[in-house]
Amino acid sequence: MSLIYNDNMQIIIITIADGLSVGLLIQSCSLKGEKMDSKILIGAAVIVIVAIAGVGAFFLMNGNHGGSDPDPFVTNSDTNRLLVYGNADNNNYLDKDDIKFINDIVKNGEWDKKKYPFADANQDGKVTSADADTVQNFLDGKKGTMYYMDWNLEVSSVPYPLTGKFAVAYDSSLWIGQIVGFYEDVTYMSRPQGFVDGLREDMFPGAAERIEAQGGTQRYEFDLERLIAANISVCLGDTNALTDNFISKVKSYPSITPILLPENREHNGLNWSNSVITLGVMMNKQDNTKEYIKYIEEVSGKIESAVKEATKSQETKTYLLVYCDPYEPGWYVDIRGTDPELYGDVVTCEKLPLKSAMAPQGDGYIQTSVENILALDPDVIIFSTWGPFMENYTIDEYKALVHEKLDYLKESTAYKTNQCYSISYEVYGTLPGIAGLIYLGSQIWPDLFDEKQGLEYIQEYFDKFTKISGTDVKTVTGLLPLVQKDIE
Amino acid sequence: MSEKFDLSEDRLLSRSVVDAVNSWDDPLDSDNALHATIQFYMHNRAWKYIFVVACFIAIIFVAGYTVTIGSVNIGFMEAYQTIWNHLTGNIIDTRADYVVWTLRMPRVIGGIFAGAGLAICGVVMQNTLKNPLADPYTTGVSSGASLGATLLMTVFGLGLGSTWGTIGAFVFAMIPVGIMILITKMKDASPTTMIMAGIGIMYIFNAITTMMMLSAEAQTMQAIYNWQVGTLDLLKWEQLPVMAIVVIAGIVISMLVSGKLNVLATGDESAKAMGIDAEKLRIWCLILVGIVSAAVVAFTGLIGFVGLVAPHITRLFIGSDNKFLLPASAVFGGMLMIVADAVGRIILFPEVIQVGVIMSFIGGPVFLMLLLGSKRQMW
Repeated sequence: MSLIYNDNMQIIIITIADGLSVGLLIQSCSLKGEKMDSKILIGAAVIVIVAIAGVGAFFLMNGNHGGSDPDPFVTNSDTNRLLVYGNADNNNYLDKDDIKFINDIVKNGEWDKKKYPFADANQDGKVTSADADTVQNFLDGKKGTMYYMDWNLEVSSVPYPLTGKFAVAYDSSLWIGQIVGFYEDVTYMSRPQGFVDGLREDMFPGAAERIEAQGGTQRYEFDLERLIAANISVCLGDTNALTDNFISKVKSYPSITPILLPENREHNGLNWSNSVITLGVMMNKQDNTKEYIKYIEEVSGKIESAVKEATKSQETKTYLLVYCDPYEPGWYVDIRGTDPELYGDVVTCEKLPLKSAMAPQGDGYIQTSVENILALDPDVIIFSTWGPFMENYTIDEYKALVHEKLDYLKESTAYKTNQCYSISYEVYGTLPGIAGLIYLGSQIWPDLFDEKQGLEYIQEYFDKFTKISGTDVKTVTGLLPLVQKDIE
Repeated sequence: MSEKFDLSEDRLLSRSVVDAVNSWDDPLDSDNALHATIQFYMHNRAWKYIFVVACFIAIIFVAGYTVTIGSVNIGFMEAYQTIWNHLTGNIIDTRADYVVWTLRMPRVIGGIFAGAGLAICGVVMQNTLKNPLADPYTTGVSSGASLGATLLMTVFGLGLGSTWGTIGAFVFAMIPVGIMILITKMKDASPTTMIMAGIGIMYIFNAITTMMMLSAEAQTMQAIYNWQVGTLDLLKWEQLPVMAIVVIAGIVISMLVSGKLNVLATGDESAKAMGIDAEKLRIWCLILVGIVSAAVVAFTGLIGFVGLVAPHITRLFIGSDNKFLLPASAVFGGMLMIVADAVGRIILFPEVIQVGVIMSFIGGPVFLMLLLGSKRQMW
């Protein structure tokens, strides 16, 4: 059995299975080698057994298993998301205020590097008038090098302004492209052909015809040779596509710029809103992102007030995100992991005053069981579904999919108190997720959030920032969260 | 005067052996080896009976205990009260009833049948192929079922827990068995042929499966791999009768041919001398193992090592006589399965480790011991 999946547990199993078949063959052919000393054999066997058990125990025990309390809920502010060096005042815009800010630092002779790291626009280690000139050049659209903070929280650079054809890893980059203005420039995706063919025409018009699918490997690492052949200038993806291996190779090919900003998920606290805002500046298309910035600042502001109120009045609730996939009959939950990457649905849901019922462990995608979910008994259960949105299920088919899982949880407190919901991971695990939070919040905390306003925000998002402007969001599967009475 | 044992009333010895013994012209006690063997056999007969009965009692206790353990806090006696209340239609605590009756019971009962089925398949395969490393998947069932599962998910978009998913996995699991039968008909049904054919088919099917998985989505691949590791999580009450009927039928049939399997294990020539068509018996055993293991795999995925480990551990206690080995292995295999499942459920709460993974941690060391150890000639 060929090994192409790097799940460590399965490496052990598959290796043993292969060994079994080889052993069987050797036994059956009665190969007679030299008789080995039995003590050496026994010693070797003991070493192998201990090694296998040790490796298994290491991977099993990796992460914080059940010992500590769940993290307190985290607010994820959507202000201060621009990661470009030159954004001296730490807001979401690169503008003349940054030039003034830099000049003030120069005048005062004092620069708090920790508080205002982005003041050093040219990355020479100091803040001088040269940094102000650099920012002015950016605002004038002059060519140069722009530095930014990447997902490793280190300094990377791009040629300014960023232009050319884009290679992306996921459809979430298409959402980003629709806001920033590079949607039509996306011509390559490191996903299977079936995935590209399945891109919804209403959401992503023309994408299925225009985009070349890379196909192939599970982890979707960009294929550099294919990118060169496709005349790609910019790569946008996640750590599965922009692997260390790919990045080290592409460094020696300056015509392709990897953007180390998340197109989906959150990495070291950076997520897609950072990417939208930062790419807008990198491409000298800030005007395209201003509406988006205004929108998320407004929605975030409302959520943050509600969070403060909920914390004060002790209305925070425990929750679990139960993953729901039509092909996977097992039970999985999305939670915070112990590595720097967070799944998108966790990023979105934890903007609300929700506290995970499960402590951070593993990579955040944990196999569990119905009984374990009942034992944890969270106040709120949110089904995070994969498939219904992209595969264009009808709303009834979507409800039926979730209903099947919901049926198993009828003895949970969440079910009995009508606190079971469903979100589409493909929507709520990426950019549009924030749009539905006020509405979702209004179902859980009717006193803190307004349902009507929540619906308006969802409609506004899809009208302003997507290609389905004018479509009633209630008629499109996956755009609205489902509430329990919808699912039953 | 020589002592003559009257074996004619001994039901445990097959007719052919009794006739062979009674046809000796020499007094029995002039052949010390045969005398000692028969005396040893008769003295140990009681011990083997006791062992088999003890296994049955043990599995009742083990099953009875595993149904009371889990992450939801339900006491030992409370669990049994819950079962009793359900059976009498007097459900008081719906939550406890759901957890014990709907979640735990099908896993435990299904686990017993799955473990028993795979164990007896292992015994039969080890005997027919005269190879201690043979297990139910040597028939190629695992590779066929994997291909079926992958095809169903990637091409037809069917979930593995669905009815059609189960049927599809079963059907595809039988395809390698069918190919092996064809090959044995074309060539011969010797152990080497069957093993080589099984491994060859396995690699072909695995290659096709891998090729399909390369173009699958990450979520689909995850689901396929999880299924390949094996789990009891998907078992529901409505599925158990199908698996139970097939497994019980398999156990009964294998018990009926256990005497012939004993003879077969001594070699094809000895079998022929006893009037047994070794090749035909092997083919029928292959079909039996294919059907039983496919029926288990269709519901649980590929839980490995039960068919290898259970017979060997049982053999340590009870010897190689299939009349005892088969029922004891079936019971031991069932017990092993539910213990492994219980460990996987509770050891890393709230995370669950699939039973196939736990079985691998047990099976790996046993596999090494087999490679290093026993000089047994009869399996």
